[in-house]
Amino acid sequence: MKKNLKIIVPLVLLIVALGAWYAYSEYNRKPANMENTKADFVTNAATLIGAFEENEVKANQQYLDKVVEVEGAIRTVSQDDAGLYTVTMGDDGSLSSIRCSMDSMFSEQAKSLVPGSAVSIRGVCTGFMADPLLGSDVTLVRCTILKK
Amino acid sequence: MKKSLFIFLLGVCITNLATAQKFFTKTGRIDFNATAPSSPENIQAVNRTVTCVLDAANGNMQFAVLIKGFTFERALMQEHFNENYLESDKFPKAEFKGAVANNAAVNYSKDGTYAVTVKGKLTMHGQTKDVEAPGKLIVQGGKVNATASFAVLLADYGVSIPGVVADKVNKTAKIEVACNLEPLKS
Repeated sequence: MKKNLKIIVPLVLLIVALGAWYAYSEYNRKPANMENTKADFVTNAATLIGAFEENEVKANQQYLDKVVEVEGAIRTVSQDDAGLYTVTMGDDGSLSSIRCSMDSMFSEQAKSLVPGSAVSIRGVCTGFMADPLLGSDVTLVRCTILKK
Repeated sequence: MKKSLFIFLLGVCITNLATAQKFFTKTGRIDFNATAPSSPENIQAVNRTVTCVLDAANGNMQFAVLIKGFTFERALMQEHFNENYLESDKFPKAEFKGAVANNAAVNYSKDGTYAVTVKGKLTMHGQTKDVEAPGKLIVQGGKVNATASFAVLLADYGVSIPGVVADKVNKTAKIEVACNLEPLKS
């Protein structure tokens, strides 16, 4: 009996400690850094926009919440009041674009992007905003710029 | 006579141009805060991809935002927000459609700060409710900075807060909107 206790007590303590450690790390978990996250989809701007324009429901099922790596031509680079950058990608002929809200860690790189040049950006797809007046956008957040 | 008529017509054209103007942004910001007074941690999120269109002619205002675009500091909180509370897979967008109630008091062609009231319908989590919020429009150099702050009762939108987290998540969420609107070239 005593022998059993000697094994069971440390074992229970170990499980409790592991559980506490797991709960603690889970509680403090930060949203994944896109720089080191593998992309679920690798595509280009025209294909991604096309998928959402053709069938938003289907595209949502496929891309929503997924890490997507998109290649395309930069259309605009803008900065908001808080100093954070937004990069849009797309063809000049179309109103639709991929709108990438950049991770604050990549502000410096975003700043150096030149409209018209090609870029590859990885981010989490949050959905599609269709607007006949303003043009439709596929939105990516927490974006990082991939080195070419 | 001819000259004064011409100046008059020119004047009419310019005012028309100024009032027929629409303003928009796609990088507006919404801060969401549902931290209960007794909560030891902040339950807040920010969305930086808010679309907003304001029609200066009649004060009509529209906002649209993707729920999944709200980012929290803690990943777990963000997942719960999406999966358990706002069910963003089912209801990916929140929308506001309304108008500046006292639009006549705003001169969009003259720099200045105007206190406004915005009234309209807010749709989120599949439910639509009337919302009225005090806000501020700052017209400067042909651009409009729009800010507003209001509270939503989460239960109104079918979002229930489980008892276990009732001391952390407030029943009402504070929503702050800030948009730098640019003139829309048409």
